[in-house]
Amino acid sequence: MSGSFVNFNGTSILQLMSFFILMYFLIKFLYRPFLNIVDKRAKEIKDEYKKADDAHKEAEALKEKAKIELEELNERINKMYEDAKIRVNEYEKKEKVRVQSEVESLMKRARNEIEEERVKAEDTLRSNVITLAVALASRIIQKDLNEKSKREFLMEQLSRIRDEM
Amino acid sequence: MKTSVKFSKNEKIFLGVFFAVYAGVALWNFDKVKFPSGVGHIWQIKVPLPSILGTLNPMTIIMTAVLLVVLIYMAIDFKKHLKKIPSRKQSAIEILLSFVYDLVKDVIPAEEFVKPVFYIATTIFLFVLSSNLLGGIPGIGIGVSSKGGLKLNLFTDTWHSPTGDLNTNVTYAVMVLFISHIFAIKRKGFKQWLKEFASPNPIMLPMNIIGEIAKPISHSLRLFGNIAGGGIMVLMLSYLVKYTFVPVILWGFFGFFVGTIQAFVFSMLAIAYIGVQLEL
Repeated sequence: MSGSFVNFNGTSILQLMSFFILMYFLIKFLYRPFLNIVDKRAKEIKDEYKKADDAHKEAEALKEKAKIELEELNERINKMYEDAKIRVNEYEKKEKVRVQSEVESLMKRARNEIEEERVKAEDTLRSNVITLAVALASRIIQKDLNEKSKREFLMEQLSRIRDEM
Repeated sequence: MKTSVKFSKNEKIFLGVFFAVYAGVALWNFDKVKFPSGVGHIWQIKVPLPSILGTLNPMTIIMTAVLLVVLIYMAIDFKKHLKKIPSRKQSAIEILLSFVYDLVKDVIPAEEFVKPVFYIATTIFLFVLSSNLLGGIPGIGIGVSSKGGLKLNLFTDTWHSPTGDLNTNVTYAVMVLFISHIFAIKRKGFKQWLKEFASPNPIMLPMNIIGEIAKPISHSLRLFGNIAGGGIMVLMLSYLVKYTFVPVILWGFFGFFVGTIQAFVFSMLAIAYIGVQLEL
């Protein structure tokens, strides 16, 4: 059986049914998964952006903190340097004083020693001179005296000379 | 940029033979082509149901069922291979769907109706689009011969597109009308909805009613005219040039070009009609 292509009949009921069947399945298998995954993707991207933003902020804060710490450290280093400088100066001064005093004491000791040596040498010289003088005198006076009496005699003579002087 | 088309020797020979055979067949056929008097008639069957419900268009029903199976299979395939990082196929479908979704979102003023309208509009769009595209591909169908009997068309006509049947289009258009008014009642309340028929003035009441009735008529006949008319026009034109031009080119034009535009227009109008009713 055939009919005109412009018609309206029972097919429309079937078309309506088929539309709703199609819509049911497409909602189930196509639209819902599609919307879900798009939402999920959007949410994920948003989260990622937020995460990145947070990380950026955190990094920024850390950077700021590090900068402050670095400045503090620099300050401390400077201060320590200054302190060290002062301490070194003080030490230098102290050392100078100490060394000077040591040198002085050494000098003093040396001088004392020299003095002692001089005195000793003078004594030796004197005794030598005396001996020499005795020898000379014995030669001069040609007197036969024993050693002791000679010495006594000379000492006597000398004290006499000192008294006279 | 200037491009030049160059053929190798083998290609030249092939094209020469092809066009010679084509011209020969066309000339040989020229006298034998008869007016396709079966055009404009379709296969119908009777079922034991009262009045107009008792007649069915089997080709429409068969092709609708095929389309349903294909679309549902594609949907299942889409869901099965759903990934967060989409494959090419998935992103193509996603682009299509988000295109409709953005359209719906722009037109529908109420947030809670966006999703239902999206479901309806996309279903209409996908069904009408695939159905129209069928009308551009040569295929198998049962037509009416010039004597009034049935005959099997083996690639002498396109696949029968369900949207080339007025039943489909009227059903969809009327359904869109009903859906738009149901949504309007849901959004505004029954009283406000009734009041809007008499706005801005009670004198406008018949005008508003006629306007509402005109909507599905224009909505359905536009699509029907384009698809069914396109199919018939191809056959008529092919007859007029005595098949010296193969109708494939015209089928392609009407099926793919006009078909895509009409599918877009049909679903766009469906969204717009619903959107207008949802306007407060």
